[in-house]
Amino acid sequence: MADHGNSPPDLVESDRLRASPSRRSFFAASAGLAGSLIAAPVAADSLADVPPREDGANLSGHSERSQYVKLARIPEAGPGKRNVDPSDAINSKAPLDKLFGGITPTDLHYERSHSGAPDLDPAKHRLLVHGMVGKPLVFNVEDLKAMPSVSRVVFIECTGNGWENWKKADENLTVQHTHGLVSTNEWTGVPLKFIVDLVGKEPDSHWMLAEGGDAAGVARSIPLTDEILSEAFVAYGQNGEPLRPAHGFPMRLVMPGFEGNLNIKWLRRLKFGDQPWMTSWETARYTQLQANGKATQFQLRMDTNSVITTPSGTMVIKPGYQRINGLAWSGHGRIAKVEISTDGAKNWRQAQLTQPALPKAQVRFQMDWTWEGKPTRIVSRSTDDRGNVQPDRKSFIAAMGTNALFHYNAQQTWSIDETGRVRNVLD
Amino acid sequence: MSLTSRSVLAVAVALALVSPVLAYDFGRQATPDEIALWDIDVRPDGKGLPPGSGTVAEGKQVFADNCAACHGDNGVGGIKDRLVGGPGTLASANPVKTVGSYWPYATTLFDYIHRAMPYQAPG
Repeated sequence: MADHGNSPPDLVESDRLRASPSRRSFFAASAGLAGSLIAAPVAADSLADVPPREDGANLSGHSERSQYVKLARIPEAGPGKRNVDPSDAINSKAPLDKLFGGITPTDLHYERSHSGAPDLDPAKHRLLVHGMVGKPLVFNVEDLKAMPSVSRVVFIECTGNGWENWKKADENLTVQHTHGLVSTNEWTGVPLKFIVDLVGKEPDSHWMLAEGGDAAGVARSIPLTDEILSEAFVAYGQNGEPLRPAHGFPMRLVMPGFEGNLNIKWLRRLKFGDQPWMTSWETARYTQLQANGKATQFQLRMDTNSVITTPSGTMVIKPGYQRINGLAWSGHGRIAKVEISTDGAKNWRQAQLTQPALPKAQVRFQMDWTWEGKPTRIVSRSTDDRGNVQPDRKSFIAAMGTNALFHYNAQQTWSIDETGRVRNVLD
Repeated sequence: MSLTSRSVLAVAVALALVSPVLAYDFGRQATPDEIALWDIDVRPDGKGLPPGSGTVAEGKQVFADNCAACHGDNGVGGIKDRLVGGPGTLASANPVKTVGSYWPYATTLFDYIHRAMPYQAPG
């Protein structure tokens, strides 16, 4: 653990190996590691210091986090605009540096809301499905729950994720700041295809307008590709419970692999048509401004991405053993490989992936490393099962310019100085 | 029965047999009147625009009454998004994206204002 330095700097490698041979074999066997590195015992203490056992709290209807665990998202009003009045916040970033595994706790799933998070009464909420259909229908959430359902673990990522580093790198940013607009949950709902068949979509309709019941009425035109028709679903469940209001209660669209803003929350209307509507969100907002002053529309898929979460920005490490870990994801499919460089992108080693690596879901990666105490830079790059490789920043900027604002998926570099301080840098 | 009408009947029977006749029924049919209440989207070809007309002078008054508090008296200098200016800046290091410099369709502006503005009382 980077913060606490579980590897005392005065203990050399050979001493550590002698200290705990059985533990060494255990780690080597269970984790499939090379066996040359082990977890060293924590600093000397005594079991006499551990408080005696005592009666616990009464059992309750709802379990809270430990008083010793502090986890929170960070609301922001835009790139670098933090500590703002809550009414000015437009998103809230997940604490990637403090989470384990691949699933984001429901209350910490990142949030992007365009005009606050309404708490809609499910008894009064309705979904209208109409347009180029044979039979326009109105559904309530109980109708949806009665239909055949799917459950799927997928990441949702705000298309603005990474937007802190387009032009410069603030060295005091954490990974929560740089990459906290992505999360992975298990979502449950009704396949879009089932609803399409119920209303009898006309064959000439290849676009669907999805509209939210928030004050802004966020609406996006969605192309009805085979992939989207077979994978999209209208969700009412999130990690086993009804959606949280911040995430679209009582129903939202889930679009595996595509821009977060397409996963319309508080879904109240699906309209089928034969051309896109060119809403504000697909013209003025979620378009990529290129270096030549032209903009790209409908760049809907979230690309191959990864980031090292430990060690990461503002952490301090000590020389010796480090267990590098992080998260990788791709809107194209499954993560096939993550490589890590600990010498500024000169040499690369393959990291372990925590299985199962699910398609269009975040996967945890990890790798053992011994930091010699010299300044260096660490960086990860992911490759998905379609062969897409996360670009280095120079190539990425050469192709995209620095004004695009959205779809930043360049490799993230953390620098480490001689004191062990970890900083956000461009490359 | 003529050959033609027998064929038509046969086709109708065949269609009835292969149609997805569901043993269940979800939701309820939407009525045209209630669809009209929610059918607010406007496309670039003008489909969806309500009947109506106005003048620039009338628009200036509507803006002063409903928009200027956040967007500034002339669409600049308010606490929220700047709306005018910015042409020629989009390829620079500091692009100014406004309705004037960046929004490609007039219908988008109508649709957005109609559905989402003013911020505290949209629609």
